Amino acid sequence: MVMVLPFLLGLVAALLAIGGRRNAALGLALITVVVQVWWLMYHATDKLAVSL
Amino acid sequence: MNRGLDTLALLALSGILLVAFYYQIVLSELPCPLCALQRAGFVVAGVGLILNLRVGYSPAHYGLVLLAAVAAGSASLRQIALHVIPGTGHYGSALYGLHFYTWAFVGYGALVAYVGVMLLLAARAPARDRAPPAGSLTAFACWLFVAVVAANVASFLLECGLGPCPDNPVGYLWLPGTK
Repeated sequence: MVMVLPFLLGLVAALLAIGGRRNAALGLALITVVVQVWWLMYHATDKLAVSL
Repeated sequence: MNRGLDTLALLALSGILLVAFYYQIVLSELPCPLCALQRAGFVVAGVGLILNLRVGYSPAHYGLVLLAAVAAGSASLRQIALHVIPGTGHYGSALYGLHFYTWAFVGYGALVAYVGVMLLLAARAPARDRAPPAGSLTAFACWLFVAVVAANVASFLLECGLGPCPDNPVGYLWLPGTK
């Protein structure tokens, strides 16, 4: 799990967006969202200190 | 009008990331993994706004902003839940009485509301209208955002290297002895 990966992907997506490469930027940004969700599942495994 | 509002929204996203940097660098509050994911959400949302500004408005670009807000909002909600019970502590400083993960959740809620309003306003405009040449403020907003994201790349490389960040970071992995 590489924490810098979503930022690196986001940076490249932002540069592609500025360069007008719409589909590439959109695709890379969507991959970034997938990585974000993946990383969240990695970090959200502990039980919460709440009981309902 | 949409273009002006998107420019302001992009500046606001850069401002949020810069405030986080201020607390990281000046007050030595290193971001935790969940904090990083919340920052990453603002990065992806910014890409959606840049697409609107550079290639023209499209609902797909706002869809990207919404996906980023939901994904990263989930991370902030998770962190709020970790500390919601009295006695379970907190992470980092509070700003105006709220911790940053709570502010992030408020921010993502505002972003969702913003997109809703923009889609309502844009319903009267043709989709994918070609963006006019970028004005100086728009260009500044885009490049400021890129600079802030690049700084985040450098920062997380220094803090976590090419691996996961520790749950409670106390220093920079690639800058031993610094905090």
